[in-house]
Amino acid sequence: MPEVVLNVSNISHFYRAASGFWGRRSVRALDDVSLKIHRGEIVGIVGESGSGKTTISKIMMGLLTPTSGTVELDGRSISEQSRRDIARRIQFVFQDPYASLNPRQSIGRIISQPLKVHGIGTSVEQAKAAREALDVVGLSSRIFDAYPNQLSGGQRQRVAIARALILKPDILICDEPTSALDVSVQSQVLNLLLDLRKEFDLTYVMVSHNLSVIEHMASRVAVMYLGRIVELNVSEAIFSAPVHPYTKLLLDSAMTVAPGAGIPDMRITEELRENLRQHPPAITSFTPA
Amino acid sequence: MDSMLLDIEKLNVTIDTAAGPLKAVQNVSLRVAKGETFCIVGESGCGKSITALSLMGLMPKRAKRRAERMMFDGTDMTTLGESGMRRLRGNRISMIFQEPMTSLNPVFTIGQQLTDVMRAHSRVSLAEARERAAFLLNKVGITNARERLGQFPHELSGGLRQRVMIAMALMCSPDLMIADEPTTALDVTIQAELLRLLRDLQQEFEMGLVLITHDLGIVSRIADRIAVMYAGQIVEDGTADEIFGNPLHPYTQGLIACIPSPDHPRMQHLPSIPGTVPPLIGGLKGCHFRERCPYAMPSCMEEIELKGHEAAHRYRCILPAQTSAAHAKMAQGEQVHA
Amino acid sequence: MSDQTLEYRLADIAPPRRNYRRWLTHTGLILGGTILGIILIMAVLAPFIAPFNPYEQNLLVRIVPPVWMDGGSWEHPLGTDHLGRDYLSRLLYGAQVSLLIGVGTALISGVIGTTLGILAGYFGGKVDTVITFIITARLSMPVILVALAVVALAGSSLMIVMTVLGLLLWDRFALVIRAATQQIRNADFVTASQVQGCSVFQTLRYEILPNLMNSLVVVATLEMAQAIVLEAALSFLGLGVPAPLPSWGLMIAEGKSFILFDPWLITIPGVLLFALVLGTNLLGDGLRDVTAPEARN
Repeated sequence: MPEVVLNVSNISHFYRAASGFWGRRSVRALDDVSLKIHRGEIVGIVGESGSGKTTISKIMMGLLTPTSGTVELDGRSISEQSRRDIARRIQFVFQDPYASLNPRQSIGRIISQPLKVHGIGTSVEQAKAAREALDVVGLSSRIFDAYPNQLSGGQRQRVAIARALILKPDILICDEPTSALDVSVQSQVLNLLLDLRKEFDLTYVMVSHNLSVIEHMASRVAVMYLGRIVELNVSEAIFSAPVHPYTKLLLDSAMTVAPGAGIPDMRITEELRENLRQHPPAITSFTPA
Repeated sequence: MDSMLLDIEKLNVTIDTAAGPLKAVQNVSLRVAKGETFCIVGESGCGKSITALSLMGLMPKRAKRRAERMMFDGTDMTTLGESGMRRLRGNRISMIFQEPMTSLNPVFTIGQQLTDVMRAHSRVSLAEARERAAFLLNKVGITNARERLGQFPHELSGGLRQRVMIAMALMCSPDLMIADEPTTALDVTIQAELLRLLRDLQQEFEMGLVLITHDLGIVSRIADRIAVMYAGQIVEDGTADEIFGNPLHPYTQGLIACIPSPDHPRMQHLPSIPGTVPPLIGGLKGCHFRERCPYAMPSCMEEIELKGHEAAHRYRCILPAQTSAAHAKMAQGEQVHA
Repeated sequence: MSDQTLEYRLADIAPPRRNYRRWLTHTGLILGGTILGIILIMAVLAPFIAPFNPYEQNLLVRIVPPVWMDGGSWEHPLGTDHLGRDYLSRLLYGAQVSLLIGVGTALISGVIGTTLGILAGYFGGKVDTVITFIITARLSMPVILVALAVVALAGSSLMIVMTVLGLLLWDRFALVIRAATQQIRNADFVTASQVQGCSVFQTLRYEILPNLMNSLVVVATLEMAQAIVLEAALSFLGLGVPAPLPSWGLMIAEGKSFILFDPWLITIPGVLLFALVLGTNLLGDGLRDVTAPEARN
């Protein structure tokens, strides 16, 4: 098995909620989460809202400091590394390409900004690199001087991917990269991500609530529920033989295209939901790693 | 076809924009029977939401509606005027929107909002209205219905709020419910619960349901009849079995093929529809899908009418035979290109 | 890759160019720009087109009415004031003073207000508490009284009036910029800049500030207009720019004793002042409408 590039161990995180009469209360977002990311794999993190999947992706990126636990990048804790050093290794693709691009900057400027910030190359070289990056993500360099509002959602997400790649990172964390896009555009972006992974030897962490996207893309899947990883296994195993009741619930409720199959009956699983509430979930299966 | 609940013929909606007229809906005809689930599928900007809003007579400013026929249960909606439409809305036709967070007024309790809807349309006492509200909250799967009546929207979760919206839509026992992406903002487990609830209620009250969504998974499981919209037009309509079993329009085929599913080889290219939806400003000539279509040919430049039998299956394409053969290949994950 | 070549053809986007038609069809913008442009030309060309020296007194021709009234002559098209100075020349030079006060004040208050507003909005927490307190303290001061007192103590000169007004009028900048910063602080593109490794300064400079430009332009024009009016008020009260300098406010003040018999002494500079303030406001609103790239399509 390839080496571990990102090692998330025993992360717990509490958010401070509004202070009440009896002092501050805190809300637990993550509870003892551990996850090893190996070079070259695509790890999918699935879960519903409030499961902590977005929080863990921000912690992996060093954007949030966890209450306890460590994240190691190549064996060194990211809390000891500078933002700029981390930025060269890990990049992030946001869910909503309408919000993640500065509306006041041209496309060329947006893509070359990381180079500028890191002081790499002259401005001519930066512009050249940005044009190449546009080409890599399948966009015409004619949009170099356009503004984000002139592009469609799919084109914007390609721009966001180009910006994430320009520092030549090893790891790309994608937070719901296609959920703001139309179905016909979603497959274009997923195909692009697969191509880029081959071309640049990338490792992906894909956070999503869309099970079919994760099933198609991921080599390994972590299922999160209420701040914990409840099941972690290779993708085939998760989708063909789920072990944890919550994973089963999630798979049952996913509405894949199945004419005549009807809406899954969630009345049985309502009991299951109650069951889950009473017995906090624990990890039920592991990848031998 | 007198038994039709909703009968729309050649609906057109044009919106005036700074850059010129935008033909958001073009010649859309649809019929919904009592107790039927009619799904309008399409991507963003295809005109599906505007279609729904114009059915309700709720349209953005600067939008103009024109239709050859707009009948609701025997009454002509075009002659009703604003006050007549207001009597229909919320009473005989009700609507559920996508965003449960903003569709409820934060300063009134759930009970007030539910009873207001009913008392706006019929002379019932407050006690009766509260009785019905509690009954319906119970029906949509909310426990402690009576306590909930006194709560404010911010005290409820997203899933509960959308249930309240459904209950509100049912207050006046409507004949037709229009649901615009009712579960898109919700988690998958809650989505399944709510759709099942919606379908059960629809069968119980024999309502017509017009469901607008971009999610083909939902459509394949709930729809009796389907209309696929692209760039302001219906490109294909028919029964659910026909649309999924034998899609004839290249857009429908592409849309079905590009959804990731276990049939596709994992971590390999998915079939995709190249390009993006064309801008509707200024008007499009010929087949709207032409520029993205793998089978496009010169004759696609001409205006194409819906062909086929209305009851079973209609399509707006000149090449149904070839496309359906190619679709078999496409479904197996091969990419088809001109 | 045939997929992507097709994409090229379809994704082709007209090369971006600003849509100047929007600029030319915005009535308010055109009107405001024209008014301000005329006054600007007046101010710049004053030394060349003024028929007389604005300070030169000629007591023989006191209070000559403008040319369209009885007793007026083309020698003094807008008449003369109570000291026999040519009114047209004084108005032309007065435009310089009013514009200078407006621009100078907006610059000084803009720098102070924007800095405080961005810091409060971006950092929040304790920084915000302190800056909000400073803003509240400033808001509790009556502008005109404080300005009067300071000018009375420090003496009146163009620089002092400008500085005092600049130090007093930054509150609107600070409040608007603070609110605007809070709105975009949590936007994904700001987080994205942190992901790229931007320092706080770089984030503020590249991501936040460009998005504040709309608000800045609008507030700046409002403040310009307010500064011009305040200067006129100070001059009217005798504590604005010092006497021989031809300020429009001062001219109104000097004309006030003649209001009953020679009202044009007040009307002419009054109308100009009104036009200047109106033009500035129209221009500001117009700029806000047309510069937003969101609407540039």
